[in-house]
Amino acid sequence: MASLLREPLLHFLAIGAALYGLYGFVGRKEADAPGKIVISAERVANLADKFARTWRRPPAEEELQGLVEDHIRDEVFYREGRAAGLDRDDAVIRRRVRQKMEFLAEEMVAAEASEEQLAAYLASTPERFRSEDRLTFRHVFLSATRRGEVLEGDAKHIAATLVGATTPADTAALGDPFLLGETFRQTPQSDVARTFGDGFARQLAAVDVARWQGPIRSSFGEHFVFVDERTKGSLPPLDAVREEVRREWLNARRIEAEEKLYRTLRERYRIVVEKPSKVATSAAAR
Amino acid sequence: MGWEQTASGYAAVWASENTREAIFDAMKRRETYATTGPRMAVRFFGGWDFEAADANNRMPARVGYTKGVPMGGDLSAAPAGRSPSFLVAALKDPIGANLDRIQIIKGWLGRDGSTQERIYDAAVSGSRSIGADGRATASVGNTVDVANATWTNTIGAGEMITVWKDPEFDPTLRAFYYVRVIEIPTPRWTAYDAKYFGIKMPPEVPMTTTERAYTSPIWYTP
Repeated sequence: MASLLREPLLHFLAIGAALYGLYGFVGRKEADAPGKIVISAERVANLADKFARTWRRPPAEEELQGLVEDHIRDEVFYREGRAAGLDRDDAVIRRRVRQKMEFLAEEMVAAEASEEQLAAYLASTPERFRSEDRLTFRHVFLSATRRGEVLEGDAKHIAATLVGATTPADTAALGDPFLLGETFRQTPQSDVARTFGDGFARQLAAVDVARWQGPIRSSFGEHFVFVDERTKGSLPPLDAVREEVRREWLNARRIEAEEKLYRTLRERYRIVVEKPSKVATSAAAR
Repeated sequence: MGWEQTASGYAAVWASENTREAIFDAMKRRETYATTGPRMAVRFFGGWDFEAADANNRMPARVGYTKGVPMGGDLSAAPAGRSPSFLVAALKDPIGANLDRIQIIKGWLGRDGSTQERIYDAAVSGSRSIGADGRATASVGNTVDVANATWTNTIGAGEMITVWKDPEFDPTLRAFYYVRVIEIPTPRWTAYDAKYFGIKMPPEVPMTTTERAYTSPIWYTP
């Protein structure tokens, strides 16, 4: 019985039936008779309700009249359109109906995760939650724009005195101003890449800590760098990322439920795909 | 989106930290700028005491905040005989094109109540000079290879910083000043499309563009 209760198809049918029942209650009288459209009192109340929610006041008499008229127009076109088969082979309608089925599948997901489930999820997908490597560093900047031709010579000159030094040192006399500053604290690797370029960030990630090194080239010029501290990205404890883990866990459950429902439903069909004699397929997507 | 449009773009804020509060504070201060796409860094400060040496300071932003107001800020109470001066700086996108020039656009309300606007070149790359009329007429050039949708950073500058003073300041008139940073020409998306899909664009389609950044103004009120 327990396994039966977990059966997605059963859940699906139960939810489907509940929804159908609900719509049926409002729409029963309306749907019964071909060639006759009945707008039930419940439907009129429902239309008035929707109007009130949007406009924050109940509709006036003519407005309600208009709503009902519009609903009748909807119903006429809908019935006639379906009768003419316009809903078949329509990509928009197919997508919408598929979406509704997927929503139903999602409804089946229990929304609350237990502590153990979250911890297990975090442990099983650490790469999703791992924090980035961070760098605290300072740099001496030689501007390509300011120095032009003498940039390489100046860099060699500074390299001779600075490289290898193991104290941050007073570098105020060296180098040029850099618009974004000379010290960067606890800066994520991706920020370094965005500010200085990928190549620079990669090289900086590889240099030794606590001694002057360089020059490293960026698209702005040459840089001598002193890395004070490199903080390796780590897997945060569950408490620090609980919300993210919960969200990801829930999303994974949704995808799982949808997939399971699809598999179950699909099993009820024998699927035949016929090969056309000639079909153009490209080797691979570009 | 029409084909005549070049791009969407980026909005940037100078926030003290990457938090919701700091970003909203920055927007409230109007300390914001935008670009047509590249991640350029642009600084703009206005005050009464900026001097040429400030452009060589090691910490341009600190001088800016100490001596003046940032982009989006207000100036008033002009000291007698003084014109407003501005510290303006730009850093190119590290993976983008070099910079052609920095312009300051001044708008003011004339005595007859009509709105006036004038463009000044504040800094230009290379050895070009800015004339007495505040404009550099020589073009930065063009390295775009349209057929291959590529360009080289052999012209222009990676960064620019300068101090600019309003040469025609009238302390009795309301005015605003904003900055435009202009990149060297680069292939427009139409050039990338033409290359990628191997098609020929009609002659009226522009194939190059100059991406740019533009800041919030600094406002002067008498």
